[in-house]
Amino acid sequence: MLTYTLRRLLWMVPTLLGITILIFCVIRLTPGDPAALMVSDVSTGGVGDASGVEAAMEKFRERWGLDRPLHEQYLVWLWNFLRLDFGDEMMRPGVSITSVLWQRLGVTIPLTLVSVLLSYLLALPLGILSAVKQGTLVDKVSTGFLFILYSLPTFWAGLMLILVFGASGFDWLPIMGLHDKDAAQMPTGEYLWDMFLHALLPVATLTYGGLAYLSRQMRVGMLEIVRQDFIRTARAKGLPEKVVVFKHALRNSLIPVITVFAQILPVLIGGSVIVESVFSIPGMGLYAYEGLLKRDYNVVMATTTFSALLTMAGFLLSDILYALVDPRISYD
Amino acid sequence: MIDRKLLAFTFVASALLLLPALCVEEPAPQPVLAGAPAVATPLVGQEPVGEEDGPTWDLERLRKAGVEAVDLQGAHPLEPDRYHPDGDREVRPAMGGRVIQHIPSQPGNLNRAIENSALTTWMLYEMHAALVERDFETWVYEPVVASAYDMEDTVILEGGRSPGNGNILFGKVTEAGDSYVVESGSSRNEIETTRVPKGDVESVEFGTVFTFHLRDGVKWHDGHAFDAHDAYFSWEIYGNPAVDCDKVRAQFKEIVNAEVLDDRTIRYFYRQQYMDAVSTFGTNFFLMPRHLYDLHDPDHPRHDAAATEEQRAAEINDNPHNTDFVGLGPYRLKEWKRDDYIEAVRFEDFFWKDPAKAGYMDVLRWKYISNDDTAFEGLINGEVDIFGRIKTEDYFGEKTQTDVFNKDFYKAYTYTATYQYTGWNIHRTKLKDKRVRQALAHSFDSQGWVDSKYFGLAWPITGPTFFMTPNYDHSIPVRAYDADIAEELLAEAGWYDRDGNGIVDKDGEDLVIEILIPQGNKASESTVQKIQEGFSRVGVRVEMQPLEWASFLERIYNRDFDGCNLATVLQGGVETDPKLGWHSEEGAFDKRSSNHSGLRDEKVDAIVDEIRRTIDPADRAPLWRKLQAELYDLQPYLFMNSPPRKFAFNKKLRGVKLYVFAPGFLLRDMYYEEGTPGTRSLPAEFSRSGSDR
Repeated sequence: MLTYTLRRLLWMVPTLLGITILIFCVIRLTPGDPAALMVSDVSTGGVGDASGVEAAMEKFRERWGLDRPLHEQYLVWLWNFLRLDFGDEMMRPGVSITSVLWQRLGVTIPLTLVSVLLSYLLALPLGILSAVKQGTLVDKVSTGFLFILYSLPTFWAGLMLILVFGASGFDWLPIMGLHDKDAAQMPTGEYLWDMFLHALLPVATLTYGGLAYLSRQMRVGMLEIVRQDFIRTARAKGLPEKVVVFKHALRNSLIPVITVFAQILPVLIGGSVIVESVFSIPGMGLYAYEGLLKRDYNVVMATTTFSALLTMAGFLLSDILYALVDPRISYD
Repeated sequence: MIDRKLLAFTFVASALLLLPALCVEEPAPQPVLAGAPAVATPLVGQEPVGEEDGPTWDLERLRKAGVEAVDLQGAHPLEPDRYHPDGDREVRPAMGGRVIQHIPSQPGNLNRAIENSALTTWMLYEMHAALVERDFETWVYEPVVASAYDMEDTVILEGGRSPGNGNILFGKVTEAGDSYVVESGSSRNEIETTRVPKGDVESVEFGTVFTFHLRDGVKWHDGHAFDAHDAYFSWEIYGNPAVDCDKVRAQFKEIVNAEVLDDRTIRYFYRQQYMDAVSTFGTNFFLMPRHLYDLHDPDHPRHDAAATEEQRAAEINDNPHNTDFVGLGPYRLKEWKRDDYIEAVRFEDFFWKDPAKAGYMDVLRWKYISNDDTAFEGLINGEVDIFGRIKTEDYFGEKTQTDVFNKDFYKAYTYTATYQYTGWNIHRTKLKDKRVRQALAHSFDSQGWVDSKYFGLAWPITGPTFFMTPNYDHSIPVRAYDADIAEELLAEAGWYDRDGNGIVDKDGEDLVIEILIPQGNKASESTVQKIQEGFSRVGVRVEMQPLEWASFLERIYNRDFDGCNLATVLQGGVETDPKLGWHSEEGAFDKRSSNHSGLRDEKVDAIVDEIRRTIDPADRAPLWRKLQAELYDLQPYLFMNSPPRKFAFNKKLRGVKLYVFAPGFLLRDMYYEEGTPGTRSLPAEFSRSGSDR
């Protein structure tokens, strides 16, 4: 297992290199000139009247090395990356991307982790219940409900939650950010409670889609397993149903759900673009999205490289988990 | 096998869940100007200027737009709390409290020399002060950091101005027969009155020497004293090519010399007379604390008398105080929580103590929320007090008519110098002929569009000047929406439907126009759809091309477009240097400039040059109107309309005045009513009622 893990880790190096080359080329081939953006005034939505545009654009390109050949630009980026230096934001010189990344991850990762945890905690029992009670009203209602949840667009669901639970509706929950505007003055206990309340709606929005998907996966996996001979044998042996389901069926049916784990991690990061935008949470997803809109190549490279790493880590993790849950799988 | 029952159940359940969204009604049309007070205040004071070629204001329309006063400077609503439902009640202002304004994007930094975003400017209105500043009510530039200033003229003697600003005389210049008389126009210009024969004079440049007498006791936010050396350094940086101030450098390069006369007096010399000479010393002239930015300053923490120009520039470009701002204004930066908010608190050592000038609030906060829907909900939820991006359909629609909204908020609008247009790329052969562009103008129902899309609230325009100033000629009519005229003009230009495919053609090419719009901009999208509808009547096909902002700009700057739908904000407030937008020098194909139409017209150039040399705004007005008439004829843009800015304010905020300058209000005007929790009474010497202000 250790050899396998090490081999996989080594393979990640050329894979990551390939991904960064691809992203680097794609972002630079994408129409849109960051220098032109820099001289415009986005806040007014106008091109604005300005002289010295050409000089300003030229200086911008020179400063960020955009006037150099593409391969040189990539090598410079790679060298900096190897030194774990993502550089400064192009549109906000002096703002270190690494520091912003850490700050943003500090927001996104807790939200994502709570959401993933909740998704699994709720999805597994729901999926099991649905499978065990296949064809009953419970199964149909839960299937229908989860199907609807899965179909709801995230931005719509987020806005609906805001309208229902915010001041426009019941006025039960805060709808924006992760802290109250006066949070800095709050004692610790109140501060944490305030954060908990603020996180409820974003976490709910992040969770419901994954929950629906996971529980369906769980149901399918479970149904497949309960039809197997060894389950019939277990039942024939007169084992109690609980033992059949939770001891014999559950472990085997977890395999497809674990496969999904690898996909869910990056999807949750990507999905947070919408959630973070709707709830005005300065997280990683919004950072990547805004960087892309501003054609801030440095930000785009940093965030996408991070996402690529996360995806690869997710795949590796799920492969390792396979072996742990299924004794038939061995990498040695 | 699909379970049909399950499918049916799912469908019904989905429909039920989606029902609330589907049931949102289209906003019901409201009476025009529903947000205006029930009784329009009659126009007071002056009628339109009666000179022969003077402006002919459409008074009826101005009244409808809620304009109270019209004078030579323009038209401006001045009454505080004009749209507040309880605005007639007299309110005693309190000191203290906090106001939170929503901002849709974030400035890169607050050093206006290198960051020229509108947001930076708006924040600096509260956190910084300039030598002179425009009074938003009277539109006149008043001394602020300077206590007074003198304006004199330059006589450039035969042989021209020499390096080092020699071979000139300056003072108040008058003509006396075949001579010029030069006499002192400033207490610090101790010259004898001199007569100079005209033959010895190369040129006289009026209003080109400015002597500023700086106010005593002015301090930077860090407590350091402000003096004339700061003002000198703030000009000097524009001469350093390594400083990232290229966008505004040209404006300051016109100031050819500066002299520190003493710690409290500084003099600047302009190369030639220039329309924006005074306004350049306004907010544009970003005063910088030399002790924090200039490596040559002995007080700088890393003082280095031998620092090169590159090192000095780097110190400015990458200075931590570009974000950790130190200014001169009534509010000082307290916290910049990146991607969240910027907060400023009262600066106790500000030179003015009267809250009417120094502000009533203790705390100003600009809250960043990128999503407008969320920001509006943030307003309803008390996260922000001011939201300035209400869409027209929401302004007149259900969103701002709910009980929840009306309980705590009210809406208002004001016209700022903004207009929407569709610019044509004249470098394109098919759009070169002005008759084609005129025909396109006749194919768009401008008034109909304003009535249907903006509920009559936007103002159809025919030129680039601000319609609430005498620079705008209201007698120039919007081109009639008339397919016959359009077809005639197109035919004259050689465009008619030869092959019977319903599209006019010439030299084998159909007249198909691609119009770029910023992606996601619903207003642009619907405007171009309206254009499509109108143009199709005369056989012109329009292809709408939504592009995200970065790609959009790239194509504009590369002149790779037929048409582009945009809005522009006159950066100078009510007028802006016309050279950038309309002069031939800026219109060459390979020139990336604001003249993205690529207009090159000698007559326009001559008018533009004259406007730029005319220093009296009253004298400029007829020239602006002349320019408007020329552009009306040439139609480089399809000038569309000037929409108002629409706001929602928390009702607790009082003293709100709406101006014609973006963003349309000043935070320092606002206060809470006396007795509001978290506030205190005004100091006795400033005690007054709101109506006394």
